[in-house]
Amino acid sequence: MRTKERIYPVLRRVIYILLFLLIAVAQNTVLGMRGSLLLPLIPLTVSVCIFEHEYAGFFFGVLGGALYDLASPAADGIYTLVFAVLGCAVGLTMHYLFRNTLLSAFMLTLLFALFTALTGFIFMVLAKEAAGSFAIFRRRFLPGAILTSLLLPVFYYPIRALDQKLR
Amino acid sequence: MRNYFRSIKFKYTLCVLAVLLLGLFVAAVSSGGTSPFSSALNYVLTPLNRAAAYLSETLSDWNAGFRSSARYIEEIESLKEEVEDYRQQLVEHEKLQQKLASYEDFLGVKSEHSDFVFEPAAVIMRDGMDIYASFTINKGTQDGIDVDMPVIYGKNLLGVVREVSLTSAVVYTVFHPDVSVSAYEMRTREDCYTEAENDLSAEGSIKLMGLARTTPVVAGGIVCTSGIGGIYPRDLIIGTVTQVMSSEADISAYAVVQPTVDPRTATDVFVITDFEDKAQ
Repeated sequence: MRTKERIYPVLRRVIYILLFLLIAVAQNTVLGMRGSLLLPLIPLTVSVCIFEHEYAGFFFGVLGGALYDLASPAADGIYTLVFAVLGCAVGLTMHYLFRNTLLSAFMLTLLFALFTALTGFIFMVLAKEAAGSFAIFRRRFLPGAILTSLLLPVFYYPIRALDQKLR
Repeated sequence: MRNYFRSIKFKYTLCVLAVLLLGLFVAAVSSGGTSPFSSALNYVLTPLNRAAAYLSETLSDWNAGFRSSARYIEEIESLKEEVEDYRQQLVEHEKLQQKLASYEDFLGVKSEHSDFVFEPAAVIMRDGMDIYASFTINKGTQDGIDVDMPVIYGKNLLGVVREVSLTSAVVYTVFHPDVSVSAYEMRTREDCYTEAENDLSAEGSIKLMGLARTTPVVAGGIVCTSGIGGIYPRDLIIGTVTQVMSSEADISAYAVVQPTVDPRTATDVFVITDFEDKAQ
């Protein structure tokens, strides 16, 4: 019993890290090469932070953001910072304020994705050139954030099952 | 929640945040434009990304057709397979032809400019949200890549290296507002320079600025690098003029140019690491 208590959290987090690596490679190569607007690292980070709460959530945020930073031409390290703060905030919100349901998780994912899109927009587009940039936010970043949020169930349910199995 | 903000864990979190901010600062001031954390992560993930990029390319050629379960399926099955075979061969043929054209172009550049030193590279990562089509290549400082080195496909200019780590480098394409190339129009020899604008970049075009109001440049003209500035060598093709318009801001005219090779589709590129008139 005690062995399970010691090993299960470690095993669970190792699986999360592997999942992060797999999804990052898929996002940065398979999806990125096709110009896809989907950022599956966001729903994965939110799902993990929801079940791991604020402290571990912060570190998974760091990991998710750093992996996204690898392919992004925005200021190096900016997504690491944003994901870390948002990951911690998601963990805190779910721990103290919201009930853990798919709806509340979806709202948090949408906010997370919008905030990430806004960061990307500011650092990649607005900082370079303001002319015509809001149309690009409306046409590209906003739909990207909404589509990304719709991916949540793909990660939420498997991570909930994993959390129940290995807690 | 108050307990969390008073806990030792929160203080640790703040410390890590401070380190991340420091990393961001280091990345901003370093010449390579990458933080040590990012470089280390890049080093670990480059082989994985290369494999995934290869897999992605292979999968895009795979023709997974839905087979009907209708009555005559068995009779047409062999014919379908045959067609599938031919289609596969055709895809392979097209790919080889593309590669051959690229190498022929490359050979042409090599024979025309014996002073060029090249480093072949593969595109391994892209950010789908980036409207400027920047991409990451699998070569870095250990392969002699440095910032401000031009990146080409055949005879065509794609962009310039702007961030470099040990094993990879980020290339900003001509669509990026930070990239401006001194150029000339081939037929009229009129000097000008390229400039990227958000609306045009999103559509896959750039602006050619600095043309005289009475410019003889017309649609169809070919725009090449002029070599001024010493970052890009002379005579690399930038693109083709699609329209010429009068500027509303001053008495000059500008042209809209469509790059000959779309950087969004490039998978194998060459980095020019050295050439005769390169700025030191």
